[in-house]
Amino acid sequence: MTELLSINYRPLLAILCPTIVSFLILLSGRRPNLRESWTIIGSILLFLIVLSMTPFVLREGPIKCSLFKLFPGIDFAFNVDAFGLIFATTSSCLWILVSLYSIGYMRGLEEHAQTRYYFCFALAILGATGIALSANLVTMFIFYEILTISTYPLVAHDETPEAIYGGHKYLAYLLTAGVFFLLGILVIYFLVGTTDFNPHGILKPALGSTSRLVLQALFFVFMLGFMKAAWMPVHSWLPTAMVAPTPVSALLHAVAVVKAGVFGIIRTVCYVYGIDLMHELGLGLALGFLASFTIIVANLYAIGQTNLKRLLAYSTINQLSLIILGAAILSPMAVTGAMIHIPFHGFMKITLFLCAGAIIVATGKTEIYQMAGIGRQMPKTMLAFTIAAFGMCGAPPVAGFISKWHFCLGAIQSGQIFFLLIILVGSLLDVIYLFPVIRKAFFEKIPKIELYKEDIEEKVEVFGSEKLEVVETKRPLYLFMIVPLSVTAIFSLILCLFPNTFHIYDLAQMAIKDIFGGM
Amino acid sequence: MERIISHSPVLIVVIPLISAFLTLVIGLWKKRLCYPFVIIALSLSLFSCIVTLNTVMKSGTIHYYLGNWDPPWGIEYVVDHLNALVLVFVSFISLMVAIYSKESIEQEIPEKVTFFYTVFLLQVTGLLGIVITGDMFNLYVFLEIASLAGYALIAIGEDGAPFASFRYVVMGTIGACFYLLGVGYLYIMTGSLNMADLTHLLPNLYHSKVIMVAFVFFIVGVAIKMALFPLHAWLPDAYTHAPSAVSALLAPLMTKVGVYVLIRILFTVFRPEFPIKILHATDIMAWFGTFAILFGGIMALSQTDFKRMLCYIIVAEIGYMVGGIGMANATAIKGAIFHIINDMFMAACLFLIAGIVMHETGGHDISDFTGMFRRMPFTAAIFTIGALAVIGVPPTCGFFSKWYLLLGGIQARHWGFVMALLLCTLINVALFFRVIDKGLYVHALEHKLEHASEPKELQFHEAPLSMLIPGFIIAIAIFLIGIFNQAILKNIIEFAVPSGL
Amino acid sequence: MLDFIISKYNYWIYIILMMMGFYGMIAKKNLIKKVIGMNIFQTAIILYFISTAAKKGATIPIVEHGHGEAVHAIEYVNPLPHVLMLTAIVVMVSTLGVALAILIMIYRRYNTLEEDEILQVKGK
Repeated sequence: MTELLSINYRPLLAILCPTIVSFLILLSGRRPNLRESWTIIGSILLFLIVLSMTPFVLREGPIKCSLFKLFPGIDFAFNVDAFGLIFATTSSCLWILVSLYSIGYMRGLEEHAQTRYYFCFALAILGATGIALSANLVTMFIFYEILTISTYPLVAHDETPEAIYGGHKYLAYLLTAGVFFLLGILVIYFLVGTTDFNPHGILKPALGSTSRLVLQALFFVFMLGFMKAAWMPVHSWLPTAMVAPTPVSALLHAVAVVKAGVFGIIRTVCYVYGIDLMHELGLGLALGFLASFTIIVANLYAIGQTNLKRLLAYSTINQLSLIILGAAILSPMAVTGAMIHIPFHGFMKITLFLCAGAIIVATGKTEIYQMAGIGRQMPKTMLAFTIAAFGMCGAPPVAGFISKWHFCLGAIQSGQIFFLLIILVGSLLDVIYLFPVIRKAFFEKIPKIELYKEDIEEKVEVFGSEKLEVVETKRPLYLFMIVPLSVTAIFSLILCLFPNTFHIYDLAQMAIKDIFGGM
Repeated sequence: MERIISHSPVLIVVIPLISAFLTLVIGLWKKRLCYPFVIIALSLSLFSCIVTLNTVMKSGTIHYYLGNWDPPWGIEYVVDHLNALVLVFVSFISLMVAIYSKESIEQEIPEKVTFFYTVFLLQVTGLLGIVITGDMFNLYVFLEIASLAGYALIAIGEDGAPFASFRYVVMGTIGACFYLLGVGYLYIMTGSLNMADLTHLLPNLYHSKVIMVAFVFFIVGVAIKMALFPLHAWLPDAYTHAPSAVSALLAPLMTKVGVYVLIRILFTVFRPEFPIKILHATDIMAWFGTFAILFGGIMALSQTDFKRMLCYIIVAEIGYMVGGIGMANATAIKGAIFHIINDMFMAACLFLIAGIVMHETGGHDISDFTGMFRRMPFTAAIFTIGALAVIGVPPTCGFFSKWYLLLGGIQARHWGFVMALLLCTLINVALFFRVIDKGLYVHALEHKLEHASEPKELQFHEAPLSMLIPGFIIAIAIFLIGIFNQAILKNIIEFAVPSGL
Repeated sequence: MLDFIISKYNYWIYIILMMMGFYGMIAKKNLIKKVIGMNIFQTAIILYFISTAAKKGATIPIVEHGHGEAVHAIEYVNPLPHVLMLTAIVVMVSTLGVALAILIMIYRRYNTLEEDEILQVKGK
């Protein structure tokens, strides 16, 4: 029994935790408080398990845990290395916060099918954790599919025709991506007989037996397999999936699905192909151009959006391609930036989405033009929004500054001025579409005639002549929403000042050392 | 005990055969005793199959001479690894379906229970006999036993079943007669009917036109029996209108046993170099497999009846297996053999669910699945597992056989087959998520009614236990076979791959 | 060429019979005619097998007095195909029985045995 608690089995525990939680949720469907407490306990437990693995990995190197054989040469195995831990830490920490938020959101709106919701949530976190900790492409594929299938009922949660359409589109894109991913894995297995992740890449031996064109085409097949990363033009599932309830969008856009896509791309670039091979095949440039295209076009789309959640969706597409660009630049600083932007962007984006959700619950407003003066009605919420928006643009003292700084330095380091320009232009465009929202929220007058939801509202600070006396009837529920979003906003600030919270920076450094070690 | 074990090959066939007649007698005496008797008989048969598999794994191929007559004068039962594996799973699935059949039959054909079980056991006898025999003509006899029992079982179904069964009679007879012709041609050239004997005698005759024509007759005859596109036309109607327990028995087993016969003829009777290098038959089979996959997938998309959709999925699955055989390399054949086992479980699981839905709602249309996750959560869970297995999501068994088939296709550079397989995966996603949608998304509808009174269609009413337990066992088996696939592959299928590939 | 046809006359006969049966099964609309075609088809194959057993100047394969000495196989017709065909005839008759039983069920349901009429009723 104690052997189970030993460090070698920690990854197995990390996987079992969300699985068991999901079953417990199913069983306690009739008692909502018990059900919700399973989620909270499970998420805290998972976070602690992941955190406990970090000092060990920093000291001694990756934890290997192999369970059973899937195919000759491929095991169902976990290899907890530094990069995987970054993703695992992000997803487990944010699960706690999003679960708290969900309680407020779902009960506030009296949503249906809450058991199904929490069950699928737990399974999605299982998928994300598994992806983070997996040792080879096939194990990652297994958890990829678990992630896609478990998030489908979440996207189509509302069960309206638009929601079901969104769910179908989501599934169509991501399962097609799964097919491409499988094809890529098969070809790699066929070429080199293994699919394990190795910091120096495993495909180098294949250069002797196949042409460069095949390897380049294979990389493109992998990119198609990672449609989760929402690169253009296969991005359109993401804005359509905004029909999901806000905590789901927060999960999709900050934690699990899109980060899994980008995580997969970085894994492929660094741990399957390897930096050397990427340079040799010229894939860094190709990937960089793809990412640059997405950054610019996504930002341009964002400028024209009126729906707040869709605007945030395009902003996410832009930031994800920023991560991809960082990986594509192939220099140590840039890849570090990519790795740390995964948690940093996660925290910031989740803040933005949780704010959007709070606005929906409190006032029912979804369009930006309706949100005039809302900063005075919901000051704490909009303050968090502002902090996160600053971070998106890369302004200090929010976390986004650190990662953008690394990106720019990395681009200069490898002499790719074009990509440096793209990053800077992207940041400028970020400002162009985020600041109008802030300005509208804080500096415009509240129009006189408007309908508010009576039951949940925040105390209004008197600012100007408008005065709206509000009765707060469900304060505890609102607490469930305000606390998580404040926590993520504060974290966004902390991460800038102390990038090594949860050892994130150390882990990134360690991963970079492994990848670029021989160079 | 030793003597029983040494006779286990023949016990496998004899027990269901004699039990069939005893069932008739018992049933005429006391109807309620039929069901337990059938369960006991099939359990004994399963036990013999497991003992046989064990013996084969320990000591290699078993040669059992019926009546102690030496071959090639007597009939010989040959059990090697391929045989033993298929035998165990055929008897396992028949046992599961038999356990499941009680409630279903009592609802659908209550006045004919005794006769149903008699013919059921005869069907199982036929299937087991086809797999175990080592004599060409004996295979024809068992083939016809299985087919005739099948015709009868299908004909007692719902409206439209007799006509569908009649079509099956005509087409199936043509298939069996072609097979018989093939046997005849082989006999006049070699003088032997024993498979092992023919393996030695045939290589000298490969250039002979008679042998080539015999080969073609075999392939066409078996193709009709296993519903390879374009000779599949009997399958959709027959399996859709048959009673639920009959579809659940026939769909997983009959066509897969046909694939087994194909492998036997192609690689055991005729050595691999004949179909692969001399006749290039495997190239043609690869393309027929590819077209079968595409055709099955596309036709399945256009169905609104759930059972009919499953039938077309079976046509596509046969395409996987025949295409895999057509790739003609060891990896793909491993995939095809493993897929025989997997498809047995997947088809059994899904047809079981169709039967449960029929039992609960009286129909097998997709719209009968509305609110299934609410009404029958356990059934819905089993259905989801079966659906994921057909789609090929790891860690269900479907993923692993797909992997080997795809890898074999890449090795053979047959991109058409690879693309067809991948496309069919996506088509299966569309098919099953359509049904899952119907089952899942009723909460908003219910919520709108403000919990006033749960609509009757959405009340919890799970299937009876005797129908659920086989479903559970099969669903768990789907997972276990997937997770432990290396155990099966390394210990059994490795030895079953024909040498010389 | 003529030699080729005449020396293998048994094969030609069985092929023609088989094709007649096949034609009946496929082209005829009446279900009973299909069954008859099926029967002719199977009979042709049985005929073929029997014909391969024949030998010139040989007698029926029954040994009158068992002297304990080896039998001159060339004097007797090959009994094996006869034996096989006994089984095949049984199969044929069973198939016929099942087919006719199914036809009775069809007739009770649709009151006709013409395929096109049945399909019309089913189509509705």
